[in-house]
Amino acid sequence: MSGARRLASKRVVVPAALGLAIYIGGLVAGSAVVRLWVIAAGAGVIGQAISQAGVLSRCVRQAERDDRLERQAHAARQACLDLLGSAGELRTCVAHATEYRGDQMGSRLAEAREYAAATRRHAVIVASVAQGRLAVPAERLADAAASLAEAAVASTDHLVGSLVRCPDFADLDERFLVFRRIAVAAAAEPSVRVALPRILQVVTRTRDLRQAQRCRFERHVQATRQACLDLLGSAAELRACAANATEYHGPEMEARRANIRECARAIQLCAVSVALLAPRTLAMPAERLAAAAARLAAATAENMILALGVMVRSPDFAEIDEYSLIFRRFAVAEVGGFGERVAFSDGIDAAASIGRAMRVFSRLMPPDAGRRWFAEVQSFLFEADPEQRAKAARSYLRSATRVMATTWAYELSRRGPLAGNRRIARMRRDTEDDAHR
Amino acid sequence: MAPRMTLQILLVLQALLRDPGRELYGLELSEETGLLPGTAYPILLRLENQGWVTSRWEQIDPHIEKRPARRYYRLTADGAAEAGAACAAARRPSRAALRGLAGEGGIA
Repeated sequence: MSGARRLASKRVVVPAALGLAIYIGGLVAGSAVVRLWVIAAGAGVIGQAISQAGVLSRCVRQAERDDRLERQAHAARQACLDLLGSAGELRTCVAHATEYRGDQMGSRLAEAREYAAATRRHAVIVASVAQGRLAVPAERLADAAASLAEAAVASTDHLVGSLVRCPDFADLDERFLVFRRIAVAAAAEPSVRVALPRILQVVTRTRDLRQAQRCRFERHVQATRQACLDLLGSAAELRACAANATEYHGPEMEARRANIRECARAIQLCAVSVALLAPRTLAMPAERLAAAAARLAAATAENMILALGVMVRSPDFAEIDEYSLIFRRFAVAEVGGFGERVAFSDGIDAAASIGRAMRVFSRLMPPDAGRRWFAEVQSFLFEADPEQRAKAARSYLRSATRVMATTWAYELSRRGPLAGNRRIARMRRDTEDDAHR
Repeated sequence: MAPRMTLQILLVLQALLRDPGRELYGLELSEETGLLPGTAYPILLRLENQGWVTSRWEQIDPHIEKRPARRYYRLTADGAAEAGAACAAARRPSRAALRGLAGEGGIA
């Protein structure tokens, strides 16, 4: 039994288990006497191997589940953004068309129809990708978009090349707001964001899974940070456009107004993106900032006299300045700072702590192959882009069983059947010595 | 024995065949093929076991370079020839496909 304990305490316990299993098989097949200590040792190491295998299979399943969840969340968020984006484009396009008069009206209406079709397409994607409760509001938003496009076409006098009456945007605006509210509420649902990590924390104890969770969290923080920067950047751009327009006097005023509308639309979309990523903390300030931006854009447009190419009075920037400041403070509190998250992103740190699962996998492989695989994982993750690192690590983890099977198959084919321990040791010595080791 | 030609294996071989003398390391190969490293590594391992590919560790001092050594892969002479033939064969339409087209009147 002391031999079994010594063997079990070694770090190469699982490869030894496989070797021993082969050895026991040989004994059972070839000899009449099977010693008791051999059976006991075999049972011990096989027990160890089984417990390790449980941990590993849980790790792999966890990695796959994390991947799936992340892909689903990303796809749902993107689908919602695409839908809102195309609806916003349609609204801007029709708003531009109401003020247009000329021979390009046909192409403008065609553009509006394309946006309506895109909205319908994105609504279908939302219904198929996102949660069930988003399907109906997405469909209604697409209906409103189609109605607006049809109303614009019906109101057009093709001979004059202009709209005879302004279509009603109220329905689209209302459906837009309803869908946005429901999408943000769905993103904040605890089933995805809060409850699942808690369940996983209970179920999983390994350091690697905590590491994977931190990776996921880090990516989420980075995405939120980027969305916040986009929102603040768009708000600053709108403010600058409006301020420039107040000082402008000339024929380009209409283009400036279109540009201001585009900025306001981009802000709406950025605000939705922020709200989807951080629905509990940043959704409200982002929406307030977007609303302030929309009011500024509307006020700027109202104060313009296109025929003269001037603005009659300067809009009030106090509101957008105030909400920009508020949002900036919230954003800094939520995703600002460079504490342990950034230290975790550091290449050396991440490469040094790839995780116990990978170490265990590397020990389950033939020794040389395991060391080589582990060193290659470290090397890859060290040089990989920080954003891709977690994905690459999961990919290595998922394929580890395949690598293990390939390396063992190769190793066994080289050794020949039921090789003795002495022969194995000699062949190990003969194995090409890696310079890296 | 030649490996079963999957799309991923072809991508790896094509990347290595672009310049058969050039050595590629994992990250480079992953970027060139668009494959995740967990997909590319077992392929390289199999190709290496079959003698198509050879690999070596980069000879550097990690403390000086401030990064771990890379594992470089390149095609062997036999491997390059066989990989070229395999890639060319993969580009050719299969007989079954041609027969199917002929049956539909696609090929005279």
